[in-house]
Amino acid sequence: MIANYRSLLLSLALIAVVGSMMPSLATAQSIDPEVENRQIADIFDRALDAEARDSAWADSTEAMSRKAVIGTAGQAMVWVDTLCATTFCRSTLELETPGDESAIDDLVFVAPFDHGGWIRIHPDGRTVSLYFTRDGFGLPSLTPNG
Amino acid sequence: MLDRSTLLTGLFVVAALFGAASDAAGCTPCFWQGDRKIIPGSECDIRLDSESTSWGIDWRGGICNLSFSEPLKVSCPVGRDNTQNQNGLECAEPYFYWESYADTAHCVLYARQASGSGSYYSTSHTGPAATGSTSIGLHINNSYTRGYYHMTCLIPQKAGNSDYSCLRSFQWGEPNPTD
Repeated sequence: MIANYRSLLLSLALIAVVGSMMPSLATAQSIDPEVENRQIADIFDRALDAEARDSAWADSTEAMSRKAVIGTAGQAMVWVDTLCATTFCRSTLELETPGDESAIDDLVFVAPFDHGGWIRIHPDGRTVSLYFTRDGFGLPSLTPNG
Repeated sequence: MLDRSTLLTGLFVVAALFGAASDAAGCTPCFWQGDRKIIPGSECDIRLDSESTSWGIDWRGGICNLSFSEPLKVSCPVGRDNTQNQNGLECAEPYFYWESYADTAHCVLYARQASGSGSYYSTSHTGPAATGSTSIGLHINNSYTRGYYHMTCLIPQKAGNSDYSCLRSFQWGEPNPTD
C-alpha cells in the first residue's frame, strides 16, 4: 500500500512538472497586436518591392493620392509619400492630432483609396501606413503559398 | 423552337450584359454560397461626424436620410461568428432605397484588430442613376483572429419628391460559421 501511495505521488509530481512546462493555450494563441501588424507590414513591403512597376498607372496614382489627401483631410492629415507598383500602393501619412483617425475614414471613400486595403496606425499615434489596391486587384497574400 | 447555338448566344449576351451592369454599378455583386445573416437598417446608427443630422427609421425598418442637401453617415454592426478565420467575409451586401436619384451611396466594410490599430477595409458604391431598390457588394478577404467587423455607409441626400433615402437592410456571410 505504501508502494502504491508512493507511485501515486510520483505520478502526480510528474504531471505537475510536465504541465508547468507547457505554454498555456491562451499564450500559445495570442500575439502582440503591434508585432502582428509589423509582420503584416513586412510582407506587404516586400511584395511592393518585388512587384514590377506599371509606370503610367503608378505615376498618376501617386499624384492622385497626394491631391486626395490634401482635398479630403485638409489640416487633419499630411501626405508624406506614396509608392505604387502594379497592383497596389503604400501611402505614408501623418495625423496632425495623434489618434484622430476620422480623416482616414473619409479618405477611403475617395479615389485612389476607394477600392480596398489595409490601414496601420503606428505606435506613435501619428504615422499612418495606408496600403491600397488598384481596382480589380487584392492585397498580397499573407500566407507563403497564397 | 430555339436551336442550341441561338440559346447559347442568348445566354452569353445576358451574361455579358449582367457583367457590364455590375461594372457600371462600381462593384462585384455578392454571389452567395453559404449561410448568411440579415438585419434591418434600423440596427445602424448615425455617426458623430455625419453631415446630415436629419434622419429617422421608416416603416420598413430602414434608416433614412431626411436631408435634401447632405449625406447621412451611419455605422452598422456586422456580427462575427467565426472568430478565428483570417480570410475575411464571404460578402456583405447593403440594400438602399430612394425614389428619385440624387447621388450614389458609398459603404466601407472594416475588419479591425480588436486591441491594436490595424484595419483591413473594402469600399464600394451604388451605380449611377440607380433608383428604387439597389444594393452593393463588399468583398473583404482578410481579417484578424478575434477582431471585429463593422460597416460605414454614406446614405445620399433625398431628391425630387422622395420622402426619404434609406439603407433598408444588409446581409453578410462568413466562411464556416458555427451557427
